[in-house]
Amino acid sequence: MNITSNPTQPVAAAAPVKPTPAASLMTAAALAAMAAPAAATTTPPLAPVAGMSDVAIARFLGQAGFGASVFDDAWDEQSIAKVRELGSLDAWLDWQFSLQPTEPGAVQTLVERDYGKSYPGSTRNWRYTVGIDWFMSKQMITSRAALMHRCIYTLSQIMVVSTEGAPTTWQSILVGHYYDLLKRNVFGNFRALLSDVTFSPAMGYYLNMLGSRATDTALGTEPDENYARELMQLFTIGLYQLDSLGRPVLGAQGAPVKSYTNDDVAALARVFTGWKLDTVTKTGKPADLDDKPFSMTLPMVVDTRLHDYGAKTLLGTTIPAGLTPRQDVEKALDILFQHPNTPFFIARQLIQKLVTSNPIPAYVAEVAAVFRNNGQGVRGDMRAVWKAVLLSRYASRAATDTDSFGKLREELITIVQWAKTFRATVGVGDREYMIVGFDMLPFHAPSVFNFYRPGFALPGGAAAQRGLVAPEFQAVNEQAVLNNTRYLQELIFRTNLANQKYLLIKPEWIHKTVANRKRRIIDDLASGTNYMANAGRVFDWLNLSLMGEPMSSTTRTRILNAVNSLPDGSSGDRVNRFRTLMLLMMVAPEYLVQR
Amino acid sequence: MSDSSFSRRKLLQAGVAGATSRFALPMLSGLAALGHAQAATASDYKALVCIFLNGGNDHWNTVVPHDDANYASYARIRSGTPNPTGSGNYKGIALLRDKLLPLEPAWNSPDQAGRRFALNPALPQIQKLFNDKWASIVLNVGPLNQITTQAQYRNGINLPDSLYSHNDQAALAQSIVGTEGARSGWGGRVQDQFPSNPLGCIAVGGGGLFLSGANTAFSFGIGADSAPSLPAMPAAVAACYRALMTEAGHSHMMLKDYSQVGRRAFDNIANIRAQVSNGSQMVPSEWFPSANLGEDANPLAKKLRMVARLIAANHNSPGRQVFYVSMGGFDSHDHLVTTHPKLLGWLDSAVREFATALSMVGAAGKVSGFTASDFGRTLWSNGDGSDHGWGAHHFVFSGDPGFRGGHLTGIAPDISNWDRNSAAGKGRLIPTTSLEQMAMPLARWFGVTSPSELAAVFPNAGQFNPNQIQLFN
Repeated sequence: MNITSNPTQPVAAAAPVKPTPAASLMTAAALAAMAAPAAATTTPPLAPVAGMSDVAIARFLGQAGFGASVFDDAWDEQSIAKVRELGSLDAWLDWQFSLQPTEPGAVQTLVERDYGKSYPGSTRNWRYTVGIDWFMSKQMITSRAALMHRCIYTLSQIMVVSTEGAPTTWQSILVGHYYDLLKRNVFGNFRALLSDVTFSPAMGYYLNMLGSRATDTALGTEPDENYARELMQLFTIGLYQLDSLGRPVLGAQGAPVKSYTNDDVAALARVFTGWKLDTVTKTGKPADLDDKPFSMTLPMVVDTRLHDYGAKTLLGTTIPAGLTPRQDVEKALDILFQHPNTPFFIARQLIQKLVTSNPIPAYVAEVAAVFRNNGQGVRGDMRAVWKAVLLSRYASRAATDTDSFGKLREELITIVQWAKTFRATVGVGDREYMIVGFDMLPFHAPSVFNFYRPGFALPGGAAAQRGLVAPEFQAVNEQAVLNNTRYLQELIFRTNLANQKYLLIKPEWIHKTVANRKRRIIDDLASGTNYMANAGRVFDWLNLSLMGEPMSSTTRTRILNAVNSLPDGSSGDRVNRFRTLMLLMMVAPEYLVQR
Repeated sequence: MSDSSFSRRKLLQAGVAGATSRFALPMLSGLAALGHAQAATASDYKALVCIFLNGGNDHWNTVVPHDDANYASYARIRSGTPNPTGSGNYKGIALLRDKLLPLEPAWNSPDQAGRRFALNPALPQIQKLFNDKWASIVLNVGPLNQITTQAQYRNGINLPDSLYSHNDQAALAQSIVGTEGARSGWGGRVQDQFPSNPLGCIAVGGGGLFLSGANTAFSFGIGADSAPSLPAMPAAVAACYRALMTEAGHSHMMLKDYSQVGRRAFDNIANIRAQVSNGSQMVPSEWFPSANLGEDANPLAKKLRMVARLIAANHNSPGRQVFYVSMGGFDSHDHLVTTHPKLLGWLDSAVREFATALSMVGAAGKVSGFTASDFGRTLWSNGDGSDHGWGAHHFVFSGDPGFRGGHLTGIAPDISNWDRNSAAGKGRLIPTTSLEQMAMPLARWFGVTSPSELAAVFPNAGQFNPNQIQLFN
């Protein structure tokens, strides 16, 4: 990919400008960091596509969404042709941004589907997670807004809440509200996201800010430290002080210097005391939503009796005594938002989720600079940040990191990509487009550390030997790789059309898929011929849509030999060959490692 | 059965359905030789099992202070009083003294100074194992760079990295040498000292750091319920699939790593399937009744059932195996008094069923296990739970006749005069026994005995008295 920088290109419309926090609340380091960025060098490049190859565009679509669509007639939002029509990767991103407001919200949808009421004989599993599971599956598979869903999925893996730790009732509504706030802020400002996450009942339950109270010597209780600790460690500044290039600052013994102490955790825990569910407000409550779940869709409210009104010193900055609980929280969030670590810490994780597990420092620094200043003086503008991640010249591998660039695709991404690419369909009602039998759906992580941690590498493996990471390998082991194949095999070869519970692709869709594709790409295949007679052509366009990057010739030959060894006498045989081709390509490590 | 103090009669009392007939089955000893033909230096079989409690077990409500002075302090700190503000439903997090299960140590070390302990009411089977000398407890153990005083803690002198952080402390508990990013675990490094057995380190149901060696040992992952199996495919497709998954020629590091896992899967699948198949005949499902409760099945019992099956299939041939199992949910910031007993109850029944199964197949004397966790927790309540701490109490289990069961080892903390600034604050224990000191007796039992081998497994062991914790005669 060869993207030329064009400094004259206007940047995206800025997210709403938030007020600059009072200077008295900022550390010297934070002030220095604010002064640092040079907007002219951090403007995302234009990325015109005229000179780009299909491979490069397909790779971009794999990073920004769920791969390149092979359909020409509809659902072409992700197609290479759509990107070319819009003229630049920038324009495609802007257009994808514009889809966000039209996408349905989870709570509204779930209420319409009757997940908001409990009553005798209710057929809805209002107690369980099926509602939100269904909603997430369906939206990811069917939505045109692929970028938005990839980005929400990314945020959901950083600012983790999980139904695993939620109350046992109304899980779908509770987490649905959290999805809605991620959706609302995904292309907004990171600071607003921090507030919404902090006050959300889902996070309140999950990391125990809900009901946390000031030190009470009569009761012998201390404020809950859970949210305070993880907010700093995982959501904003991270464990270690970072220098102006985003590298850990090393102390006298060569050990990295901590960015906060346990005293900071205790102080921040005091900030987060005094919050409860809003059980008073009824304005706007849908008729089909019970009181309890409705309170889970409203920001938490103050319980003045439980708040610690004393002064707190957080990261060297004093939050004075006597502020309101809300002022306390907002000032603390300002400190974390303005902390010089935050742009680097968030930039690195976003890159890891979308592009590569081991971004070079210049890549992280480039994205962090945009986080600090979108070019118009706004810090935390997520549109600009997503663009910086996806449009960077570092988003494709350079000659220097050919053997390390990229990331293992999350299994969920491969399932959604399969369903989108081949237009999987399914019956009706509750299970429409539902991914079932899969335990790594969004909002199901075993802990706030997600399914895989940013610092993981397969012990003893090649990445570990190089001192690099490969987080998604935390879910890989000897049995898991075989199970993943079996899961995909079941999806791909599922033929029981009568069982409307499961995703599947219908044989006629396969014929139609190939036929449609043929008109545009494989135009030398005459209409009505046996499309699998030239399996290599089908391989090549599947290769393009699934991953961009061509597989090795060894792998291509291997797969085609296997496919061509299968019977080819009937229409059913062709479908079977096509399904086999799909399976072998999608279980190949060369596909699974997005590069 | 002669290899243990766990009598047949007690087994039958434990209510193992079908025990008598199953026990009469001949052992399939020939098949067991598949697993570890390479273990050249081992003349017998031993297995070490790590039971990891994810999230940081609340050790205060697991092994509870029980002498008058310490229980009074525990209850004072954890119970509080009815909520004067009238909001919420604060109830305190102390356990009632008369519900606790007292421990009757076989021997009291002078370090304990008369302090006594009792178990959470959810641990009746472990109480019995303790009193029957199948279990011991290591008090106040945790990561240390050196023996650390409160003054040193307050001044930040040579402390372990990233205290109180989940992922870092969980990694440290498994590796003993490093936090997040650690590349080997002590179980793997122990296995490194033996010639490589590809199935020498097995993680059942996830995990891996503990079992990854610094040299040859690697963690082989399998599920709890069944052996891995290859997807069914036509022959030519299956051959292609195998070639894709095991390709050795990649240059990209992630392709290398993925293919390495693929090669391990294909290289060992016949062997592991044979072991699981044989072991399943020797250890029937009904020996783990708590694993068979459908939606309420005990997840740890399922994993330990698989471990028992693999041990059953292997223990009649010389060799060494290390296993890792884990159970989540221990990060009890809230609902401590309602959720924690359920988790401990799972631990309790799983360990008991495991011990019983091992006895039934005659392997109990060859197996030792222990619990580990991210960290201990605060003694102070945060309302209805506790926060991240440091030192903790942990269990060691063994059926080896030389095991010093029924012991409280390590140094019992004295909390009788604690306030919120004591120790590391809010009731966090500063460990008085290092992870190395607890692990080294287990490693020596396993057969890692030479100073050079021990130094390879525990590079910082020189900082600590190697004989502080005596787990075996």
